[in-house]
Amino acid sequence: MQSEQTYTIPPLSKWLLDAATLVAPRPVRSAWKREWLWEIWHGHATLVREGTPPTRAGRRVARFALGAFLDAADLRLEHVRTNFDARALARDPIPCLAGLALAFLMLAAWTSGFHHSRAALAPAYPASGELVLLSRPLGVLGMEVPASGGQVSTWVDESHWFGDVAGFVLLDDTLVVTPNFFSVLKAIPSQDFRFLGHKVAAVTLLNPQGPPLRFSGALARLKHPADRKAAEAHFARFSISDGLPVNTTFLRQRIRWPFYCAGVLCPLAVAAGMLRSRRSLRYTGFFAAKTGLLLGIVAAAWVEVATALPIPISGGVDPGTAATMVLLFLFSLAFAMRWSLEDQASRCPVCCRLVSMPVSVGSRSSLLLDRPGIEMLCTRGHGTLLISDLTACTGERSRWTPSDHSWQEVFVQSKTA
Amino acid sequence: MNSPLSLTSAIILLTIENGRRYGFEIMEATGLPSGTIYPALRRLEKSGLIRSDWDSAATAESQGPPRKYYRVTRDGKVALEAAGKRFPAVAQLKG
Repeated sequence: MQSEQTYTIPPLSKWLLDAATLVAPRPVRSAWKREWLWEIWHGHATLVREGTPPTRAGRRVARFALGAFLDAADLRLEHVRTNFDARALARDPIPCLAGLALAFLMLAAWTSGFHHSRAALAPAYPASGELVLLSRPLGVLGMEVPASGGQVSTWVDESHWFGDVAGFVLLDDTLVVTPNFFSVLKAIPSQDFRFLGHKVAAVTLLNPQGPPLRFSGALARLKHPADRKAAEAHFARFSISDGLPVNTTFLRQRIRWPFYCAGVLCPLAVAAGMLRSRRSLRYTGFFAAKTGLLLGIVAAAWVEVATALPIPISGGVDPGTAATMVLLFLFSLAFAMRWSLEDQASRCPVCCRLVSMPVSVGSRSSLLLDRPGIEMLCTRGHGTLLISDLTACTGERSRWTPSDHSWQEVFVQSKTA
Repeated sequence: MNSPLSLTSAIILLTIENGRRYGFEIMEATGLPSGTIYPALRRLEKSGLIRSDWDSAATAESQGPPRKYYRVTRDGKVALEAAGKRFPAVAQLKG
């Protein structure tokens, strides 16, 4: 009778083990569970044999079974460590897209839902077409040359083009302004107020009684907005009484066309390429999803990084308007697009897996009949891809040869073997 | 060349060397939780310091399922010697 009792496994321990089994890696799961189950059985039997009351023995064995979770987790980590292959992850289309989507989501979480990217697409200043920015040109090594307070008033007095004018000083993340600054700007500072690409944490009014500050620049509003072109022509001849040069430019909105390029031209290019290649919907869809995610990551990462860079106010008004930054943005998009195209060219048109097992084919001594190249195989037996070493024209990059159905049997056998 | 044993691994190895052959027994003898013992046993076995086998004699005796037992290999004994020099507590327990 007692022998029958010792053969049982307490139900709580069994449930715990069943739950822990889900954590263990699938290939070793059943063997691992069997080992633990038997160990629990023997542990319980030993305790009962030694005279431990069954309830207490059950509790002790349940505590023992809890360790199965840690053991299963350890086994899982070990399994991941030994089997993780980044190349294999990118080889299959689903893990490749999942990886990119994960990167996109992590970037979104890190940047509070692409906060700066959304701000870059929103208008920076209302009615900026009427606003003129006056600043001193960059000095030695791109250092900004501040203007004196006297100069700012002179800038306005000497021109019949400008109406009200407001001076400002940028001190790190503090903006010191003349009292009329926001009436000239026609904007109320919000919580995430940025001025000329600088993040403004605090705005303080200039104290006329305080020590004289050297202005970073001034904002002026055109007396007659309709005269914008005539005013712009006048800017080149603009000078002030002290004879020092002044940069005069309209306060520009952020340039948004690179974003529109990325958003419109890239999908158009993808669609055109796909139509030309006449590939399957799966192949086209995978390429579109992969490219979209990749370009989204690159564009968002660029905007988030660019907004964190200190841009001199008179060098490039805003990261969105700085020509160098825009060029970098376009280059980074081009590189991402190029990678996506090259990756796509190495994928099987049927299952979208990367082709593998490269084999040298052809002969350099027989360029006409047996051209040299590398032949790669789809591991699912859909066909072979020949990447030629010598291309006759720029459009000729690779040649896909589908396998006929007779090969399928071989690949099915090799998969199950 | 194996990396030096941790104190926990050395104690587990010493317990096996002292005749506690089963996982549950080792846990009872050392007082370490099962979540520490079993991963450590697996690592020790992987590094060749212990070897495991199924105990058919114990199975026949208890009429229960097979049970895995562990024994220290020659490399394990060498590693235990080294651990004794590194951890005086292990050397004392080894006596």
